[in-house]
This record gives sequence, C-alpha cells and structure tokens, in this order.
Amino acid sequence: MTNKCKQLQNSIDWRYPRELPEPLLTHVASCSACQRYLQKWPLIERDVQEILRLPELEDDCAKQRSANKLVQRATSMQDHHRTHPRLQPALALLSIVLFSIGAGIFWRHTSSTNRNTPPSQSLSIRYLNGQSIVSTATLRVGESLASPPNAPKLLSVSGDKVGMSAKSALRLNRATEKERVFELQKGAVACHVAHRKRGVHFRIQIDDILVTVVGTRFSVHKQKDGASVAVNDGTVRVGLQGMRWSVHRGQRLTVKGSGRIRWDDVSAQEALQMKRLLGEIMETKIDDAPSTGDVVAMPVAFDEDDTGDADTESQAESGGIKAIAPKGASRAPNPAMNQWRSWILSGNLTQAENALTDYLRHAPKDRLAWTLLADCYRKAHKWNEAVSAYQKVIRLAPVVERRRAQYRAAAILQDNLGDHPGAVLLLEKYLSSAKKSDMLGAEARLRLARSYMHVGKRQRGKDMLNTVINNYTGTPAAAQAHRMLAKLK
Amino acid sequence: MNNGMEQAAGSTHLNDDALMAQMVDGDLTVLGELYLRHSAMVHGALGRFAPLMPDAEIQEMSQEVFMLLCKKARHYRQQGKFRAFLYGIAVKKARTWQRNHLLRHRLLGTISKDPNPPWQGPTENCPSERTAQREVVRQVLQRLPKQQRAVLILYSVEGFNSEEIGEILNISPQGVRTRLFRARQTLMENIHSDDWLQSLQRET
Repeated sequence: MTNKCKQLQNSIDWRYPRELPEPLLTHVASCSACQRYLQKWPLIERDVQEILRLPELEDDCAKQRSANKLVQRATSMQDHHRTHPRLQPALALLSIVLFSIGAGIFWRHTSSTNRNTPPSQSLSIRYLNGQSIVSTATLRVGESLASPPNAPKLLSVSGDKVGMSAKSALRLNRATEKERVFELQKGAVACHVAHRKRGVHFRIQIDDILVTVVGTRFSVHKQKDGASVAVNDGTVRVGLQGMRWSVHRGQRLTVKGSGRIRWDDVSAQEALQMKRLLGEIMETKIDDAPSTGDVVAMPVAFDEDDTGDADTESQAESGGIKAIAPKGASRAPNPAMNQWRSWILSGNLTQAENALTDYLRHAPKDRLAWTLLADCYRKAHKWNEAVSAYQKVIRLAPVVERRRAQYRAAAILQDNLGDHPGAVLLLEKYLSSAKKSDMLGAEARLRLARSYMHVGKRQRGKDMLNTVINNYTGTPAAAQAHRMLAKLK
Repeated sequence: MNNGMEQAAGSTHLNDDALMAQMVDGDLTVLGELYLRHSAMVHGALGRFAPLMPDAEIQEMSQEVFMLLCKKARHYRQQGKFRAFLYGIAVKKARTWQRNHLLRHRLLGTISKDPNPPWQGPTENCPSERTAQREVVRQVLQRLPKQQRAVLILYSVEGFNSEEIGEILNISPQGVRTRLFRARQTLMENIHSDDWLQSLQRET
C-alpha cells in the first residue's frame, strides 16, 4: 500500500496519538489514505509493546523478601560507613599533597647528604713560611697535625690559612664540599678563612663547642674546660649544646663546657699576635709566641669568686643592644657605645641612662661608659649624679679624659649646685696639669677667679683675672676679665 | 528488621518524594517500600536496555539499582519525577552491564548467535501469521538507531513524557521529540504491507 496523501504523515509528531490538532482531525475524516495511516500506528505500537513486554520476575512474596534483603543491606552499609568513615576527597587530596611534599624534602635531604658526604676524604695542605710554600702534604679525615713545642706552624688549606701556635694539635674530623671541620685538641689556632657561600662551612670543634665561620680572621684557644674565640675580622658563630652566640669583629667570647660565657674585647696586642701566627707580620720572631695558657687570644680566666656570676659572663641586653662586659678598663671601644652616644645626642636620655647603668653594673671600671653616663646625667639636669659620674671618670681615666671630667664637674658645681669650694678644688687640679695651648685654660681661670670671690679670696681672684688679661690678650675671656675687674673696683 | 518493616508499612501512604526525604534523613527502611512500588519498572528497564541480561542477574542488578538510589538520594530534587530519577539510574546500570558484557565476550572471543534473541515477547495464544508480522516489527525495531529506540521504548512502553525522557537519557525535551518522530517514521515506512495491516485488522 502506498500512502499517496502525506499530510497526516508529515504532520504527525510526537504528540500522536495522545493529542492531534483539530484541523488535522477534520482532514483525516475525509481522507481514506490518512485514515488507513492513522489506523496503522496504534497497531504497530501495540506490537512494539508486545515485543518489549517482559515476564514478571517476582511475585508479591518474592518482592517482599527482596525488599527486606535490600533494607538489611542498606542498613549494614550505613553502619559500616559510620564505623569506618570514608576519607573525604579533599582530605585525601590534602594528604597526598602533604605526603608528596614530605617525600620530596626527604628525598632531597637524603640525596644531598649522600651526595655531599663521601665516606672519606682528604685535604691537600701546604706548609708555609710567610707567603712561600715550604712543603705540601695530604691530611686525611681522622689524622692530626701537631706544631713543635717551641715554634708555631702555618698552613694553607684550599685558600684558608691556619696558624697553629706552639704545642698545638689539630685533627681533621670532616672534609666535604659543604663542610670542613677541624678539632682543636690542644693549644691555639688563628685562622684566616676565605669568604664562603651560604651553606658552605668552615668549623673548628673544641669538645662540644663548635665555631662556625663564614669568612673571617679569628683565633681559637683551647682551655681547660672550654675555649676562647677572638675575632679580628668578620663574624664567627659559636655553638654549644643548642645555644649559639655570634662573635663580631673586635670581640672575644670565652665559653666554658658548662655553658658559662664571658665577653671581652680583643686588645691590639692580641690582634697583633693573631697576625703574627697567620704570617701577616714577619718582622717579629714567631718563636717568641707565648706557650699554651695565654697564647694568641690571651683568654680571660673565669674567676670562681667573680661576683657577677652568670650575669657578668653573659651578654647583657640593654635596650636591644648587645653589651660586652670587659674585665677591667676596656682596651677597645665597646661597639654599643656609639649607639648609646647617639641616644644621648638625640635626647634619648632615659634609654641611654638605663643601658649605661645596666652595663656599668657589670663593668664598673669602664671609663668611657662612665663618661657617657656623666654626660647623660648632665644633659638630663641630674647635677649631683653627673658630678658623681665625673668623679668616677677622674679616678679611672688617663690625663686627657680626667681633665675634661674635672672641668665639667667644676662647671656644674659652680653654675648649678653653688658649690664653690668644690669647684675651686677641681679647677685648681685642672689648671695644675694645663698646658699653654689649652684653649679651656682662660675659661677655667675665669671660673676659678669667680669661685675665689665667692669663697672670700678676693685677692686671689683679682690675681687670676689679671693673669687672664695678660696671658689671653684680645680674647673674649680677657674682655670678660676686664669687666669683672671693673665691677670689683 | 521487623521494626524497620513495620515502619516501612507505616509509610505506605506517603508519596515517593516524602519517602526520599525520609531516606535522606537517614531512615533506610523506606527503601523497602520504594522497592515494592518500583521494582517491576526497574526490572523492565534492565531487561529492555540490557536484553542480554539473564533474569537472575536482573534481580541482583535491581538490588544494586536501589542501593545506588540510597547513595544518590541527596541529589534528588523532589520535583515529582522520582520514576524518571530511578529509571535513569537503572538505564545507566543496564547500559554499563551491556557494554561490559559485550566487551568481555569480545575479548574472550565467545560471542555467538544468541539462542534467545532479545525482545522475543510472549508468543503463546498468538496466530502464526501474527507471529511472522511481529517478527518484522521486531527486526525493524532492532535496526533503529540506539537513541531513537530508547526514546520509543520510554515513550510508547513506559509512558514517560518528553521532559522525563530527557532527564533519563540526559538530552533536551526537543531532542526527545525529534528522535521519537524519526523512530515512528522509520517504523511506518518499513511496515507498509497491506497484508500485514489486514491481518492486524482481522485480529482486532
């Protein structure tokens, strides 16, 4: 059969046979071809349904049993998930990422350790006499070098210079690309270590104390129970049982095995001795190097009856500045002094006063600190304290500083405290050691004359004013002396 | 378990959406009620979309479908389309099984002519000439493109509308209508014998 009318066929769409448009129904009523076509589809659909019809798999009882089984399964699954919660995807991802990072770090660390720590290595060393090479040798890990009892020894190790004092022994403990560790078994060594890259270390070990260098000139001295490290140039890190100190240029750190430390300054003599050991100064005979005990670094011995105890020995933190407590009068200026001085100049008087007071509690004989403290008090208008501090300086300091302190103290006594007898005493002392070229001489004499007048010694005062007029003619002091004399008349 | 079934029996008056809401809240006993209501539909879906699946496996697979429904309950949006939601799960399961089955047999080289061709349908009480005609329909049906056949089954046999079919097959409703139109056209054009039509008319 050929359906000549295509109207229904073309119009038929997904809605058929559930809904058919009204115009199409009207057409179908008068078109036999379309009527046949319209009859055809329900029959086909019925066949399709028949073909796709499936037999019932379960009766009601079987269905109920299956339903029960299903509920049981689902419940047990839920219980299982409650007792064994599943790892959330994000958590799992995070764990994977963390594990990867950890594994990467571990691998890198172990591989680099393996790469940089060959089982055994040796160092090529050169024995020097000044700048010239005397001989060469190979030093293996575990081997030791010893200097003769009456002569130092100078070596060059891959660009680093090591000067061993007499009766010293040095053992190579480790020699890798990243680390070179010598153990100072006895005596003292001075080292001039070339600047190193980050992570490349030159170390000297003394028992538990480890001295790490980046690039510097320094000396290490082994003591009975510890070591002393003096730095001429650069910075050295000293470590002991987890503690660590940085020793800078001009400083010396003495560390005891118990952890007690003492800070000190490197004197010019020590620095010279260090240079001698390193062959940088040849005019002095190296044979003259002192024997073990107070060699190179001239370390400061710990006094058992030292009243300072741990506080005295440790670095005092004052206003964030590391203070180095010297024993006795300081031989080199404390690096913190400049800071304190700048505080005083900038008017930071309280901070400077606190820092200096704290520092002087541990180093009561530091004249520079006393001078700064006296100046600080003077600026703060604490006149009595200032005079006391200047008195300390007068007792401790050499001539020049002492005279300055005398003048300053006298001026305060005269101007601010009205203590003219005290001022007379100080000014007389000041003028007794004055030179002709002393520019403060005229001013001091004027002051002395004024004090004489106050204490009733008018004639002495007049004589002093005449001295000023005669000796300092044409100066403002002479003019003032003239005015004072005119007043007296 | 008995308590669970009692609770499930108490939930028979609830509609599918309410039962799903209870399941999301953690009450798994309602799963039994849902199984009782829709297991036949799931069996049909599995049997029609995976014609090679044995009956025993259909029963086992229908349990799997309901377990999956339990897991995916949170994703159900309660729009009165529970049947489509469940049917979609069943269709995906059936297709996965069919694909794996064919792949397994292809790999093992054990593919042979199936002694029981799919969609045979019951033939008892059916005249011999009708059986022959029905065979023609079956062959045309099997030659239909997969998507058109799926749409035809879901529309003509299962009675879903185009929106529901779109959700099940993950296509747009318009795409459903187009496929349905083409499937019907193919069938009408291939089955045009007057004898076939007369025999059908006589039967009716």
